[in-house]
Amino acid sequence: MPPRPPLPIPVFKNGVGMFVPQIKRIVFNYCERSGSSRGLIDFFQRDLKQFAEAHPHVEMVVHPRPSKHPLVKGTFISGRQKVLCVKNMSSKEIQEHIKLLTEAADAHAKPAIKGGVVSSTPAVRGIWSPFKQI
Amino acid sequence: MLRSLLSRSATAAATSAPRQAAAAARPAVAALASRRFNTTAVTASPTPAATTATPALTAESVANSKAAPYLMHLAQSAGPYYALLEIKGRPYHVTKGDMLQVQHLKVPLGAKLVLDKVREIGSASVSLRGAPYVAENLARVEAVVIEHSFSEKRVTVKTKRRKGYKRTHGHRQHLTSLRITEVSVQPLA
Repeated sequence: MPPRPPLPIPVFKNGVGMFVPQIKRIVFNYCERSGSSRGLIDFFQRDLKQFAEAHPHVEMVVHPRPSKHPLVKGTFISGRQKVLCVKNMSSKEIQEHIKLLTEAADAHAKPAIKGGVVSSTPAVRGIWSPFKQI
Repeated sequence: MLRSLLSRSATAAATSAPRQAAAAARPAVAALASRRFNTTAVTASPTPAATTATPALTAESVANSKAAPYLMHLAQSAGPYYALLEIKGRPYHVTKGDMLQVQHLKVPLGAKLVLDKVREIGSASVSLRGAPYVAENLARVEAVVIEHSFSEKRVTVKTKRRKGYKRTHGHRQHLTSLRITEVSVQPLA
């Protein structure tokens, strides 16, 4: 019996079947005493609950890190990690800044796609040849 | 510029007849004086025609046209379809399953969008080109917002040598990624 051709490997295209947010976990590091963590502590007291409810798919961890500047560390499904320093930022500024974690697909910033389209489907009208009539 | 126009018109009135006739032929000073530049104030100039949505096509309206059999062929073919979209004034060529990176859209993550500005839609053998857009009830293109991101930083450095002048300007473009979930042609009612 001839060998079977290999099955095509399924390519995950986020959004076609179902949309999966790419951010997995966010860890907040803060210092109880330092002035640079005041904004983050303010965020914990006022807005963290609402923020966590708005992102139920994200695991949120609050962990003290004494004598250091406050950090927000995001881990994505790809395994990559992005660390944002939120020193001396207000609660509102922190919420705007961590959109880099909650709304992005990956930790690394890439150049803008030239042409704007990334496609793996073959050409609908076929590849041009000089013998092909339009 | 407005002041120089006013002074020119004032001196023209005081001089000879040909100049006066020429001044009369020019637009009235009062109208120029009342016109405001670079503002959003309502002016006396005629307003442009209100843009209307692309009118819907019906089977009756195209029944006797030469395009009818082509439209039927396009709708009945199973696909795949391609579409030329316009998003924020820029064109994109898409098929189903493509990822599109466009300028930032103020839409929540995971939102489903129906893209109505379709310049052209077609299959392997038949294409339909809109003027300027295809009718909304004919072409159906849907997308999902999958990401709001910033591009990598591009730094512009301005230097003047031997003058102690150096300026650095960083820029990250705010982008939105869309996943095209459907490109299809709806049959006419």
